[in-house]
Amino acid sequence: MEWQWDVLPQFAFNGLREGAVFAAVALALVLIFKATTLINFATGELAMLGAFLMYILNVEQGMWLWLSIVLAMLISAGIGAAVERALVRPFDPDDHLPVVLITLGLFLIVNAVAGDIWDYQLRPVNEPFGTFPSWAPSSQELKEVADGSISCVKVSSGNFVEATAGAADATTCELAGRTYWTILNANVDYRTLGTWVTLAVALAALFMVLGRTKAGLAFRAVSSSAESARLVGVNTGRTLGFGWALASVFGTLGAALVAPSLNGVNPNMMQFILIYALAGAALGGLDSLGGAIIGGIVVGLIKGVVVSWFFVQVMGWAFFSILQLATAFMLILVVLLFRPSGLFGTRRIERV
Amino acid sequence: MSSPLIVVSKGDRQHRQWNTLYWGYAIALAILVPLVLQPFQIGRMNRAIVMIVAVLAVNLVVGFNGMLALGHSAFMGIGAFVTASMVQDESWDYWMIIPLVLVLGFAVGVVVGLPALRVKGLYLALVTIAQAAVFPTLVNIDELGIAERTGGPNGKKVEEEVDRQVDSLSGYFEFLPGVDGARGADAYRYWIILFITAIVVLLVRNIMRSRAGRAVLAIRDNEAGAAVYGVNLPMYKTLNFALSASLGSLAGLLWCLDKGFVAGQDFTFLLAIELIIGLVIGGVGTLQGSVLGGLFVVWVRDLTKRISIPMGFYTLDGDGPLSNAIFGLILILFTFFAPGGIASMVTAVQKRIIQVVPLTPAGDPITPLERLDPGPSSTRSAWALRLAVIGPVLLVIGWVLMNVDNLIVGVFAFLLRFAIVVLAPIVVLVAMNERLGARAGLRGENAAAVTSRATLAGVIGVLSFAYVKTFALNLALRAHHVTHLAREAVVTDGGRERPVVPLVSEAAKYKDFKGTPGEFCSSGPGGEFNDWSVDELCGISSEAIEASETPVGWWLIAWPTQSLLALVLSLASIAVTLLVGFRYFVFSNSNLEPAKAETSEREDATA
Amino acid sequence: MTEMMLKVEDLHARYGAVEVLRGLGFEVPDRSVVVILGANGAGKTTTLRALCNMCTTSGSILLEGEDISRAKTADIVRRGVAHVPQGRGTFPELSVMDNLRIGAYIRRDKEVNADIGRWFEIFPRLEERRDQLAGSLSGGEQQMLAVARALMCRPRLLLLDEPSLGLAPLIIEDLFERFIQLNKETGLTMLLVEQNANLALDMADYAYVIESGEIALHGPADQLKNDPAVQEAYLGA
Repeated sequence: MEWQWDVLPQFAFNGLREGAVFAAVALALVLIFKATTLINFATGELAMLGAFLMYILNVEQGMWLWLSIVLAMLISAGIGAAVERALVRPFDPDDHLPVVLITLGLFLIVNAVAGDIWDYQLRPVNEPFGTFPSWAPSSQELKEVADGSISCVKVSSGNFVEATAGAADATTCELAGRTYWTILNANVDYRTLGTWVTLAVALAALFMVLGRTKAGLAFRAVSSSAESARLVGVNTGRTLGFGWALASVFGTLGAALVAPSLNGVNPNMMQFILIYALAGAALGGLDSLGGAIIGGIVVGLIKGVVVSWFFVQVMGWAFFSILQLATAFMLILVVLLFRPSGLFGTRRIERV
Repeated sequence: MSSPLIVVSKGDRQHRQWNTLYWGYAIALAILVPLVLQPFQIGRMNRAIVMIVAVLAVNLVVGFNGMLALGHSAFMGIGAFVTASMVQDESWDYWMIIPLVLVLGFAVGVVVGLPALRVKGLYLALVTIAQAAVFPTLVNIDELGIAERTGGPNGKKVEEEVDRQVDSLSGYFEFLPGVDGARGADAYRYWIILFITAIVVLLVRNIMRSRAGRAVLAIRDNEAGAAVYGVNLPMYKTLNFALSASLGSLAGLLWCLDKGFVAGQDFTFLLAIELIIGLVIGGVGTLQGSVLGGLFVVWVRDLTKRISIPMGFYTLDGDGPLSNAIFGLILILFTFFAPGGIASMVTAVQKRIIQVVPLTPAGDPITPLERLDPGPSSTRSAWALRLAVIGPVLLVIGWVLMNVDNLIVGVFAFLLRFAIVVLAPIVVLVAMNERLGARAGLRGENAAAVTSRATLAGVIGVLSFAYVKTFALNLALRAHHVTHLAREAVVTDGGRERPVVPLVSEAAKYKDFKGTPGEFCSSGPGGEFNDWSVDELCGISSEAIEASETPVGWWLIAWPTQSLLALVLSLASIAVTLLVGFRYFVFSNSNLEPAKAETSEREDATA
Repeated sequence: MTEMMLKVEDLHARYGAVEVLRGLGFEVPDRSVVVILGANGAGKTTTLRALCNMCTTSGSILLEGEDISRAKTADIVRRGVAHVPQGRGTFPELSVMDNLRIGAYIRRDKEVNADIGRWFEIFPRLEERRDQLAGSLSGGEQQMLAVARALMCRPRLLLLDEPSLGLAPLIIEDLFERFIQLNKETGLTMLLVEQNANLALDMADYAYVIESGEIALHGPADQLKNDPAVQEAYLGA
């Protein structure tokens, strides 16, 4: 066993980037759980739909990438609110079974229809952060790369899909080599930084909306006590729709941010991510927004550091790379065993 | 039909008659399956019965205990892989593996269930959905010999020579319907799977009636209440979940027995959702629901795969990803409009036909049956007659609709054609019951006559239907042997693939031939068969043909005279029905309806 | 004749198969305090819930002459009916300030903060705890918060469901004094449901007694207070 401390920061950064995506999806889960005390198993598929909207607008229609992401988020918000209105509101929120069945049905339909329209193939998307204007390599550098006196490293795309180790020619170097900074001996590429910054901005916006606006106040009131909220004149139905819309926004954002790391969009892209996000939400507490964020990031770190670094790199157990998803499952079990309300969950957990 | 057609007290003679009818149908259906269906259809039926066990396992948790379990695909997977590995690698017999998978499933169920079931809420759903997603990745681990035993990404096949126990044993069970040379292993597997499933269903039924079962139900209905009465909630919930997990593993064993091949991609989250869909569509929380649901998922999936609706530039194709979308839509529609599933619809219909009055501890009906009797104003005979007329009418409509070349219409027509089998015995039962009433002087003057006509129509209807079906079965059976030849041929020839589905119609050309396959080849009519010449066919599969000495349709006495009798009887029954119906609707309608004054008088009396 | 704030006729309400209210009728004049008395299970709480359309009802409910029996709960609130439900109806996971702000949810004017200041003057304990979560307040404070929260929507009719439940006698008296003060100062109409008949009759102008979903007795409060039957049943005399 050899402690490979030098590569640890790299794994940690990758884990944090993935964790940011898990956090976004976990947030979508928690927003809906707070609104309707329901786990929406179609969260991942709705997010996938949002990513495809982005793909259509950007790749097929040629719209500016960020505009298409924002538009996709807005359209997803509409879809989320419509789903709540049409499929969830008719049911008694205290009876979980029908609503969960609805979300399962939705899962099947969205996945299958997307698969029918776009096939189950990867469709490459544009990199939201890598296209930023970068320093052009100097002719001196290109020459040095060509004769091998400086090495040219292609940035790993993270652990979703291992990047193929391409030939270190000048072109790859220009494209990949210039889009990262090195911190603590680890390559922090634009994608990682961009994912963090985007998520941070989105979170700031979310907490502004929830904390400062009337609709946000109404949402918090409804999730605290729906009946009391009705008694102060809050239209609970519309507020729940608002919660679903917010959730869809975050799901879509997560899917749009993760798509380049998966080498593109595809109808099954969110299925594993949903499980990680569920683990994150359970870890943070199903009704805690802050908990979802921290939980998601912790799950990313566990995946990156504990599994990919410690077990695979340090211990040399290669089969643990298969066990990544199983780790999320184990995490849920451990959380339920020792702290069923999660780290930050406030709802009283009823022991039975 | 506001009041039920028959009112019986629990356990009395008519109730027993009704139950006999019920079970008669179930048994007849079970026997007909291996006889009538083609081998690949028997295989599908086996799959459906396996799904019954799996859906029942899910029902134990979701339906009877009110907890959400979405990961039974993993338990099935565990059972299937363990079975495949033990049979293939260790040469165990299937029956030796049964206790192993039961114990293993139970243990995994405790490990997964205990943490989640200690707390209230959706946590079991959370854990089990993760479990369903994780399981297919686990079979690929190449440490500890796991991938070796599971076959990894390629899946694990139970080789034919290892699996010979099924084929060799089937020789001892030739007395079972369908287990003849032709259908052999498929039908034999059918009986094994059906037998185990029946035991499982009975077991679950008895458990639910036991003390533990009542505790489980009490938890579903009122958790706090159950806790107050001293039910140990986590223990009962976990035991119930673990039992469900072990039944899920048993379903996995049966899956392996049926299919002979297991692969990780068969046991994904999609299978778990499929089980839930089966449960919901069959009916949550009822045994009948699980049975219906298991049959539903397999056969309706089969149906949706054959949907192909051209819509201009786009063809709606059910045999692609969209078959899942159709399932999802069905799930949502049922959740909205029929949350009780098919079982509750069946119950609703049954309630209009028969009312079973429960007994007091002393053994008397809780409500005296006389009080439930409608008396002289009874319209039951009229209804019986109406049903007797409806049956053949539906049969004719079904025949007409059969000619429409559309899958959905075809299925609908199929159901219409069989409606008479259900309606006619009900007519007979109701009519017999009404005759008792008339004898006791409780009915009006015309009732007796109507009753006899209804009985007659019902009896003739069902008899003639049976004869017509017998006739059709003769054709199908004889066709079947030829189909079997073709199937053997495909297997032997390997490379040359032929469509199997239209073989019946092809084989119908040889319907006049009676004899063994060997005689078919040596002295048969010759000619073309699905692009094969008969000689070619017989040449390729000569071994199988010589081995099969079973004559065509051995279990039926299939003579033309009998077919002729069937034809005459069915024509007669239609004629009688039409005559009776004509009389009933045109001439004697007023005789059947009770006088208005009489009714109101009666109401006054009760008031 | 005084104008009627609320006029209820032939009100029926049911939970599933159980009929709880059986043809209730009563009136609440403008600027008055009316109390409904009754034993446990008589249907007092259901009456208030029915007014806000929170259970299945039939009959007519006229708020200032307009029928509101079919209106949605939120719309009824918008018409000036505030309801302090049994068990307080605060939002335990929101801070005191947020509870008051959500109380003003239906208002669009700029005076919300001024109003909050006003209620803080009346209930100074709330101001001390303005940033605390409502769930962490004591019972009396929560009741004050619930009342203040209800008043934030500037109602014309306040429905109070057993405000004295679970509170110490001293706090109850204090609370009821404030109710009287409110009624006198702002002319707020109140419909109060109580088990504590003594206090309620002291405060009210008119009283109804309901028994198993029907009006058994009614009359001016001081008259009922001297009624021997009422004394025996509710005042423990």
